[in-house]
Amino acid sequence: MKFGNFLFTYKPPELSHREVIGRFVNLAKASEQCGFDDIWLLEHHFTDFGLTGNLFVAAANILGATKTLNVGTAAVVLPTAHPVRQLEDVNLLDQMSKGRFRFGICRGLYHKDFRVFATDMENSRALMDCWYDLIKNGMTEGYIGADNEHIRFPKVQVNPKAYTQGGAPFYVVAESASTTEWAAIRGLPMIISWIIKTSEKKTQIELYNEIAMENGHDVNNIDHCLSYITSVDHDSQRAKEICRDFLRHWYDGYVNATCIFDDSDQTRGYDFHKGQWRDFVLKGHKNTNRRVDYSYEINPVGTPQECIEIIQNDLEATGIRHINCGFEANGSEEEIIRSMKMFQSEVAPYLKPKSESKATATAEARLEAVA
Amino acid sequence: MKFGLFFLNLLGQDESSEQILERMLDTAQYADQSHFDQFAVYENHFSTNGVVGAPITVAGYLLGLTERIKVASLNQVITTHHPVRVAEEACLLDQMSEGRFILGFSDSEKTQDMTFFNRPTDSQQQIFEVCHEIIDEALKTGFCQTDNDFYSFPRISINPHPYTQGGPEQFVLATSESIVAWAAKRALPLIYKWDDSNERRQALAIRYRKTADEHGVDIENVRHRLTLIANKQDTEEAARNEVREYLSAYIREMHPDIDFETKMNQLLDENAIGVYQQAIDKGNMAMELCDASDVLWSFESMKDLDRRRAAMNLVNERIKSHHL
Repeated sequence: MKFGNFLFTYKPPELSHREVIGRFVNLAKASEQCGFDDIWLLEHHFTDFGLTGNLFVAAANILGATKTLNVGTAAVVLPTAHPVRQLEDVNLLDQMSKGRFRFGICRGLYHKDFRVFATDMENSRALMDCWYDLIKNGMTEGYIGADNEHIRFPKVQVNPKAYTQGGAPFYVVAESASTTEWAAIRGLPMIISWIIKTSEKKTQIELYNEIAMENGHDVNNIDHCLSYITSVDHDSQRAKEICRDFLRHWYDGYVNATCIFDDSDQTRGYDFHKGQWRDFVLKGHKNTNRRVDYSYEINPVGTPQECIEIIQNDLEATGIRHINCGFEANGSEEEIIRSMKMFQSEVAPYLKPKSESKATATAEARLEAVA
Repeated sequence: MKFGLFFLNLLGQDESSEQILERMLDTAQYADQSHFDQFAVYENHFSTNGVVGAPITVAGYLLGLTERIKVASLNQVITTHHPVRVAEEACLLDQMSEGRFILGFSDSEKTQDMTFFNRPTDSQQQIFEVCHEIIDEALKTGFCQTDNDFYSFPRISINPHPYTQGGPEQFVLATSESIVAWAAKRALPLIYKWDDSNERRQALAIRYRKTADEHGVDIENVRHRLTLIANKQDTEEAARNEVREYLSAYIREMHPDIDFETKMNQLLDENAIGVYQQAIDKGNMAMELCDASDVLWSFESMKDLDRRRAAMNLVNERIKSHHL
């Protein structure tokens, strides 16, 4: 099992930019001290929803300040920056950290990012596809060049070369079926959302496994990650209440940071997200408090035993062995670290991965059924 | 006077990116324990004359690795990068390092980089000025907006807002008379290039003073930096030979229009290369001619790390005895 820590850098109304970034750096260092395998950083621009716009720079600083911690992005918005610059950044981090960087990517959800960085949001899927191929080839070949409908530049030498054979590992934030399929064809590990139920996670993994196996990938060796909002306390109610204000503001920040959820929005290519939001509204989750309560039902927020049950249920259903928990809603820096420590001592040791044979059997059975 | 280091990260024959970057990290950690005040990291793309294309990213790593020393980008090319990203990166490091990051930037020394990143080469100065205006507003206020021939976007918050009041310190690479004049009007400090001649740097210094005077700009407290290649050996010939080998490919790429031997000899004569006192004298001479207050050395041509450290120790002792 591997355990990671999501660091949101969300700025609640009562904290300054200084306090948020100071806490972010301290929590990253504390993650290594608490024994987490990795931390994951989120890209956001121009909004309090997250204060880290350039994840390569943020990851560089944390990698420099730590010795063993892996640092991943969850995720870099791939289409909005030049692929060659991203490749240079990734290889630099891969080299300087001796392979501790994890390159998580997504296609982006926020209008303002695309507006400011002059990228066509409706074309994000095609751009992600193109950029990924360019970057991946550049990692393995040491050269990069492009001449297609999206971008054109001459073939150039990439410096530095990748440190990790084949390049730093990719991860994909996958929510929709089409992104799941895209990741599966390439055999890339997914970072799975914390706002879906166990049954949906199971369906997503089954879809992935089916396509990945068809494309010749060994589904037992793909490092998918489950994401969670996490708060551990011996008092279940306290674990929930300490997070409520933070999560309420954070959830509202998410909805307000993009136009996707406006009924009048016409942006093409984001039907899954719009549909997901409509389902939320129909369930009455437009009310932020109800959305917080719902997330408590499916995330490890409670006593150690409650946390173990929720996560173990997902592990059994999906066969995933890597989980990433976000503790930042747990109050002050001290309280957040206390929850991280309690997770590491009273939850993590009791989580057991589903056996590999079970996972394979499930995937093969599914494949046979489809055939 | 303050002393620092700069890293070109040139990739020599039979060397790997890994070796070059490891040496930089080793030198940086060693210097953090001494009296050096700052490092600067050089940006270069698509050739062996510098393996770092993202100097702010490397500065981020060095700031995490070190505890005390300031770290700068030597020449972040703002003309070919998105200004909002540069501003975000600078503010982020200013915050994460609690004020130890310095933004050193340049217009673009290589036309092929302008072409590669799809920037019109005939508008280089205009794009540079527009980009800096956006970055400077963001660094000073935490917000920016613009609407011109090159960029157009509404008012946005550049997050995180800077840690340092007024934004992180800035300097600009003295690449041309027009950039120097532009900097003088704003009392922005220069960083002089090690591969310019003493005569050229002196002319740029005069241009800076004259422009500031014409525009009534107070430059009394402006501290220019000078970069110099440093190589100390037991004989001048040994030092010159080692630097000659180190710089050959760089000179061929960056100064293709000048006779190679003429340019090489000029650099060997005017950088801090030779036996100890000779290197010091040449450094002092170069500083006097361009009015630089601070000097940044590159010891990278000294491939043997023990010898490199010994040379750094000599400079460190000199800082301790004369400048603290």
